Amino acid sequence: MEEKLVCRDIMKQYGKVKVLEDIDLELEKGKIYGLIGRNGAGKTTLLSILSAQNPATAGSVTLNGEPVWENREALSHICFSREINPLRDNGKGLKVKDYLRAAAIYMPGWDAEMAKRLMEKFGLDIRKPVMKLSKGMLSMITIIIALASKADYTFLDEPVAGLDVVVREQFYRILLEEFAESGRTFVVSTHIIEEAADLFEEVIMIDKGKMLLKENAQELVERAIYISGKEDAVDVAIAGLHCLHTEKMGRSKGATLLLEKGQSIKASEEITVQPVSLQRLFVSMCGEEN
Amino acid sequence: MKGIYRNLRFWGRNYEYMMGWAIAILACIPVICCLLVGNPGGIPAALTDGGYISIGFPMWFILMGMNGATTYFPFSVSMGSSRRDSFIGMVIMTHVIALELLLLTLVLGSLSSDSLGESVLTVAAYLFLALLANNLLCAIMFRFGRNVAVVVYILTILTVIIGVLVYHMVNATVGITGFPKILEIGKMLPLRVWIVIGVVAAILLDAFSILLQWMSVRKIEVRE
Repeated sequence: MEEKLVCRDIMKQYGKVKVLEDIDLELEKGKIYGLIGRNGAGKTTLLSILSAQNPATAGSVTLNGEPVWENREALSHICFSREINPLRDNGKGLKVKDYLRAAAIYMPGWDAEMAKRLMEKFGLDIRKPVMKLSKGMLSMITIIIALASKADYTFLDEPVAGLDVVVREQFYRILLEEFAESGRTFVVSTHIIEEAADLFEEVIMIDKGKMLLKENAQELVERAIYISGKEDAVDVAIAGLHCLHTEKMGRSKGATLLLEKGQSIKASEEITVQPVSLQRLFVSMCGEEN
Repeated sequence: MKGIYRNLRFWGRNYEYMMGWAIAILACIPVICCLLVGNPGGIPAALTDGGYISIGFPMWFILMGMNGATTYFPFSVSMGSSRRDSFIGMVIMTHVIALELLLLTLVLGSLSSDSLGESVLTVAAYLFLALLANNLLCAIMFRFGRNVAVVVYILTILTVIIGVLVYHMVNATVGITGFPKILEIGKMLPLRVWIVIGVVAAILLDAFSILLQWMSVRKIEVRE
């Protein structure tokens, strides 16, 4: 049986509010997935359900065909390193060393040497209470736990929140090195899309609790184009195509499109065709005005 | 078994740490009191007097249990433990701590120059009631939130304190003589039979409170 983490028909509801709906997802071994979505889209909820930290209202999550919920064996292959909130349940009154000790107890593959190395690299003091750490330092703990867990499926929720650009670059490099060495599956949710886009082999986009797409990152970006020019010419060019966003600039018009396989638009005197970045594509798909 | 073993290590480390603090703090109280009244020579006797320990330890035990459950249960789940394994580890260690407190109280009481301030059964009863209260308060906390559980805890403590004060005041003024006839049932059976009944009832009540706690805990949400 192919090794996969599979979720089918996941629905999560709080009272009458559905925060996730009709989520079908397969995560294969040995890939880096980018999970992107707006605030409140359901990214963290999805990751917590995939890792069986929270129950789904409906649907199932299986690892290699076995349900993940309350499954000790399956859980030993999954690590969800979530954002630490010093004032909530998972951070109150704890110190950095409490996290590392707990990780060493619960994670069968815990690499203490790697954790120690990363602690030194990031300059963290294990004796410090998490309440006294900055947002960036809390993110560093998240990263250390995720990387040193050596779990087959590792989920990182906003790992670079609060990190300066130097540390972010360090993280991306360390993540790629770890991926190359171990072949683990990583799912990274992030708002800093442009920086992380090069990391992702596949992109999962969520908006308002629904999955918009799950696709190879390179192919997705190749399908996305931005055309601009005189309004009439642009209207003719985009007719019948999947248009994500349009904007008018006087008598000119711009449009972001997601082409299907086999479709193309050629530049001409009247219209200009440009590639679209993953971030721009995301904004076009999930922005309020679209 | 691996999952339960991991949780015993986790809960054991965290609860034993809290126990250490409890013993240290509670030991300071008689020391400070003796020093304040200018009687440093009375410190050894004060430390071994079982009276305040049998009240202080149960109260601390409940607070420790509630605090531990609030902080460490979601934490252990966020670290990849199943709820079942974490819950089993928590319950086992809670009972181990209760037994340790009972032994500590008995050892300290036996070292005292006076006889034990409280009988063995009374101390065991206090600690059992604390265990039961801990389980029920944790069930309330997991179901309705920490604030509700803390309010219930404070109201219960106040009710007990007021009840004890009222009893002593009435007894000191009017004098409570005789007991309700229902208590004469106790004379119908030997003490050891009542002990067995008491132990069985305690086990059943403990099991029931643990079940209530489990029903509250099995679907709690871990949030950042």
